[in-house]
Amino acid sequence: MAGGHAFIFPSEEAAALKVLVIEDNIFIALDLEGQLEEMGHDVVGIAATATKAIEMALKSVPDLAIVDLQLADGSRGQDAAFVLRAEMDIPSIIVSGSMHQVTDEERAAIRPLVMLSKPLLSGELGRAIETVKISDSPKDE
Amino acid sequence: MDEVSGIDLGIFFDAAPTAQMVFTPDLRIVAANQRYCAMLGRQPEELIGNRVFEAFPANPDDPNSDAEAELQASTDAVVATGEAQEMPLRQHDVQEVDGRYGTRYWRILNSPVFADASEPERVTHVIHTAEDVTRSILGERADAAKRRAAMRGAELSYFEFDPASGRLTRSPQLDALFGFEPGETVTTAQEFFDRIHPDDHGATIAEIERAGRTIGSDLHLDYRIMRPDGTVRWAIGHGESVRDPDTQHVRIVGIVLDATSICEREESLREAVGARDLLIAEVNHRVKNSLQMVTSILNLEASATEDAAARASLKAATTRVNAVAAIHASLYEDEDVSSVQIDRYMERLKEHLDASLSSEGRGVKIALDVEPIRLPTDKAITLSLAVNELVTNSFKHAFGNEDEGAVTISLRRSGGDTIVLEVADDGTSSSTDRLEIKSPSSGLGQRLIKGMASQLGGTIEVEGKNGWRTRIYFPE
Repeated sequence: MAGGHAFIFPSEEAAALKVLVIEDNIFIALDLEGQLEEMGHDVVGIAATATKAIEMALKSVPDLAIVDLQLADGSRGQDAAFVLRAEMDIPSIIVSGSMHQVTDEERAAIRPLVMLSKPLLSGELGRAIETVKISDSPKDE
Repeated sequence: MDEVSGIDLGIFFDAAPTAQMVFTPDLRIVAANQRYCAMLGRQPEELIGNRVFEAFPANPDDPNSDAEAELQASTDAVVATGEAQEMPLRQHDVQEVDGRYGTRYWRILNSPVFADASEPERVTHVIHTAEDVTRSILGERADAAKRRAAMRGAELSYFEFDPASGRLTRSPQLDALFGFEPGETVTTAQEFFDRIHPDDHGATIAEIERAGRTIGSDLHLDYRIMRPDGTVRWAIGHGESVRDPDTQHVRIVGIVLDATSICEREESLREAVGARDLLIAEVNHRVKNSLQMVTSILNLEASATEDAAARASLKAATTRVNAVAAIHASLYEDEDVSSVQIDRYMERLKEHLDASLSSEGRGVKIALDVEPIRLPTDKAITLSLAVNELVTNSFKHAFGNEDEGAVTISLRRSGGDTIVLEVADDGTSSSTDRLEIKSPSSGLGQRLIKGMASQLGGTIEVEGKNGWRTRIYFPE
């Protein structure tokens, strides 16, 4: 999927990822943080707007972003995900209640690892991360 | 000749298929054949000896009637030239038996008769051949009236296009529709074509050309008109191509309807539907977000709780909310939000149960056997909660911690409009063990299952041989 780009998940032994959560609803953000930490990942921050997300990503350089689409201040998760992908090569998992907000062009530009529909089922996020880790692992390294 | 020599020649006169009357140059009737008498509803004796306009007085209500003068003039011309004279098509109403006048149109030929052997050049009589054309004249008038009425009522215009000359004959409504001023003299179709919207121009011309190539083919037009004042009108045209019987030219005749108000209404309906779809999408988004928030709050509560029992209760609440939430994810996958493709939804529910129950029974698998069935959303939500309870129950109580086994969810039609849901496990714990379960949460589970079965309008059937089997029968 993301063939050739610099980002690769850490090897399976050191599975802990640095994850940025981009979500403006604090309950959902804290729940995602809890779930990610339970999986052994490291949440580097919670951003409620696109601007904040880009700022935090520049500072902490996460391996992965979990991105909601409709953010606070009317900003859009797509815009943050695009900058993260284009400028820092950070991939996103989009988690939203309405996937149709993402146009085909945006999707092509962001190249999300996966798009998950809210509400998340228990364990759905964990399985999604496992799946993309497997499919994104370099086969010849 | 011998056979006919004895025959009264009047027989031929009477047998003629055309209506004929003979009168003298001063319009006194000498003879009338049977066809003539029948056509005018008169007996020969009522006519012979009378002057024409004594026998057929003009309709006093027809002020234009100068029939007598015209007939006299035509007769005078026959006498003067010795040649037949055709009279212009004319109306001469005929008084019927009851005294009323019937509207009649006539085509008349006056031919000379030379009956005086001593003066063979002198016209002695005139044979007046009359053809009643009332029906065809009135028919044409009725057609024209119908056409005018239709155009008046429905903003219709009529047109006749001659592709060879480019001439366009049409009713004035067409000029108005295309935005031509009443004074403008437009003769060619090109001036009309130039006002067709550029996006519709090509297709419209192609369609007209196509109709022109095949005589008798139907023409269908649907285009926008750009008027000089900047306004746009929508037009719909129907017609066909015909060959003119006189010129042999192909012409396209038809009507054009101003469909602007229809199209504008359609447009605003489309916009309204679009706005509605957007609203539904927005509401859908909020519902999903809210459900996510609820499960997130429960998750947070559960992880913050030290007490194992309280934690288990919160987890049970989370899975119940998730069962409802999963329906919403399936709900807006297609146009119909009032019903759910339950088989597709069950796949999601199974995933969710797999994930949330994985800690309960590590060796236990969930199997699905579901027919493609659509259910109303309310029923689907109730059903999913029932499946959630039953499967959770099997995981909790049917298996020992190290057991392997399977829980099978099946949903199928069972004759008529009855659907049966079955959740079966092959667990080892005996039925008595299960019946003795007294923990508060499982007690709630049992009550929920009973309540949900009755909500579905169904009946429950429980079987405790070789594992545990619960069936809920409910109407579609």
